[in-house]
Amino acid sequence: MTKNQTISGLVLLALTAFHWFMALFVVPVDVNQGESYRIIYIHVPAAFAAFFCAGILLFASVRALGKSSHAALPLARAATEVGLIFTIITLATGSIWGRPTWGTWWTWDARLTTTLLLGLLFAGWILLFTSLPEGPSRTKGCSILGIMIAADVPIIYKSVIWWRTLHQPQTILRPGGSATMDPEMLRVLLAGGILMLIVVLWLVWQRKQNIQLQDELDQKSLAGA
Amino acid sequence: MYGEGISAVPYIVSAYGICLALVLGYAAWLVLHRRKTTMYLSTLSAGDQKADTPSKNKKG
Repeated sequence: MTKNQTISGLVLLALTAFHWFMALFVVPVDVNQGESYRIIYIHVPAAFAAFFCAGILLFASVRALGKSSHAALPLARAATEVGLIFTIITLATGSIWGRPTWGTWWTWDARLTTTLLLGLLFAGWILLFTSLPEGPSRTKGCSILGIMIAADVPIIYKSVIWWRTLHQPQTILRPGGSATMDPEMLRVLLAGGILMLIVVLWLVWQRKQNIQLQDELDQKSLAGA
Repeated sequence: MYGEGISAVPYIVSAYGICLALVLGYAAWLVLHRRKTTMYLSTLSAGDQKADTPSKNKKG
């Protein structure tokens, strides 16, 4: 890892620590939910991050399919792995927030179920990638699955409108209306969302480079054998 | 208020802890994997260079 990459990683860590300090100690408490609402400052940005990874996966999949090239697959693989991590964070933090707020860890609500499906699809993509040998079949299969994964994101987003759910409707990106949150809370939440997206970009970029280095190492090892 | 009478602290600590553990754990794994791969690659490259260099003891 180069010096610049290490420094950028440490800067992101410091910014995240500052954001968490704001979220935990500075932003006022919610009048209805109490202190436990502070979990949304990681839950919502983590969900944004998972969706963003699905977007990167869609971009890489379309590129791989269009050019019939496996060169875009390292980006797709990196986005899938990071996406899986952030989907797990979204589900775990949502579940932890749900216990004191809804009185249950889990319910088969449309928003929760479609998000769980996103996590399972990310995991399925990794399984498919590792089980197929390198070649056009892997490129094609993984690209098609990648596009299907991205198609789940608008379903998750719209699930609270399409179905009667326990999960509350949109708070920030509401159709034809402003956010229902207090501006002070909203600023910290949006800052957290932007920061999480930058963290995702950093992680995806590092993972992509690692995959390319590993591929180079494998090729050299094979050539030497 | 929702969850009245329940301390929110364990929930908040668990949620932030899971996030920190997963992201930092993955980042640490990335750093270690990068170091290992770079080390193996440089070892292989050094081996290649050695093989390409003609031996000094070689006659003819």
